[in-house]
Amino acid sequence: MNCCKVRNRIADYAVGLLSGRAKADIESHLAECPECQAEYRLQEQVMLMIEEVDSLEPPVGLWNGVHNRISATPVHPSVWKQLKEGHYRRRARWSVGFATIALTALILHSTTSIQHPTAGPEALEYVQGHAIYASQDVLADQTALYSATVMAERTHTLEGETL
Amino acid sequence: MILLAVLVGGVVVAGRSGILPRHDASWIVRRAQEQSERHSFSASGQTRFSCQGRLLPSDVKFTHMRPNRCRIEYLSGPMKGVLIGNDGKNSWRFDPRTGRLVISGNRSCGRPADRLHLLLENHNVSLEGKTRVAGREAYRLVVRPKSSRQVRKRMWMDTRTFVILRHEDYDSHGRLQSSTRFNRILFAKSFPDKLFQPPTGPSIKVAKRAFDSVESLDRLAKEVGFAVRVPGYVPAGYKLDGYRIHDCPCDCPHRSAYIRYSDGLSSISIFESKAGSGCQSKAGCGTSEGSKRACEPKRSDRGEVVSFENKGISYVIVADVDSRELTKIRESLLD
Repeated sequence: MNCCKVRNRIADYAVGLLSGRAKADIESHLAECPECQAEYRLQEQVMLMIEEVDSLEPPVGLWNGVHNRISATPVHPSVWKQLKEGHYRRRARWSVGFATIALTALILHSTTSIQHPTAGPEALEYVQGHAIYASQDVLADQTALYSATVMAERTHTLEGETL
Repeated sequence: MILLAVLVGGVVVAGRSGILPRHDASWIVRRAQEQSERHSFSASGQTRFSCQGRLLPSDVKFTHMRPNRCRIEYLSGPMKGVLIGNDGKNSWRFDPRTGRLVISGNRSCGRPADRLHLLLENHNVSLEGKTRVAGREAYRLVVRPKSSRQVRKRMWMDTRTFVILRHEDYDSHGRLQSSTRFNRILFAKSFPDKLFQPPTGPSIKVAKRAFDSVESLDRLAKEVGFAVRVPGYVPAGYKLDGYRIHDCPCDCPHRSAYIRYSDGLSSISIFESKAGSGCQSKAGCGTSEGSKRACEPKRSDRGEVVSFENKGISYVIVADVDSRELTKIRESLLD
């Protein structure tokens, strides 16, 4: 089974919909493919988010952990490093600095992409209403459209109660 | 005369047996529309829906009883336990996670026939052949807008009953937005009435949502208490689908004017309300106050969304159209 096929079915695998050979094929592929493993972990995280929609806080120490890992990034030793230790140390500091900035930018980007500036919380009910009416259209896939509606409503209700 | 009768008979038989390409795609879609309320069946399969850009799966059981009663049970995944139904008078949905039963009056499982004309006017429906779905022979159809080659929908229709056995819906960028596939379908004469009734119990919180249609813009304005604006621009092919009053789902008295346009397959929803009159819920996932981890239909999941205020009125437009088109609609409301 190649990566493309695995990724198409990874959502099913993550929620235990697969069995028999399909499941075994994906498991054997995941054991060998770090990229698909990462995709699988991401899928699991999404499922976990949905399962635990009221648990909003990131794990304690997450950011410290990220910072520590960046700080601990090893710089490959070389002859030149030995000769110009001071120079490379400065470069290593710059690298760590750039990595930190890049990571921060990445986090900000992912956060802001979730916070679409025009799709604020008050828009949620309208998106839901839009989907409800769409389910009445000719040839509409009601089953899928209602899924989106219910998930939106669930979020609205659970978070409304939390806040 | 006899020769003519034999000739006509031969053509009919040939057409039925598939020798002639008589089953043109538009004809199949029309038949599907005519037949949609004539069959009772129970089907099981999987659905996938877009959530934060990912397709989440769920096993489903779908029961339909003619003419317009239905029940959808979600059996696994994040939607596990959710029930959707229509008892012929009211549609309802129950989510065990929230304990909330929402009853929305008078919307049926059927599809208005006049939208079919619009669909065929704006889209090319092509027949790609036949295949087997849920153990039955099915037509494989593709729907594309006449204005582009982008596939918006694929569907597999039972060749005998014209029930849709499989759907794949794509957004305006060609990304798969949702899909449903039946693995098994059983046709029946009827099902127990109880199946289509909403669940009852002391712990269930019942909420009612009205989706009242109004016949004119003036009437809509009277109902919501302000002058409702219609856009000066909608993309080609879209026509007014109706005016409605949209009640807030949180049971507050907030009402919005809802204007809907459709091209037969996609729609544009425009909601208007007095600025600051809403419940101003701080809930809503993906916000700084709310959960970054929760599941909310975003722009990519259920179309583009734009919200803005103008002269004391809040506008929210939801549509799966190109962002430039959305900007034009928005600007036409600001004029």
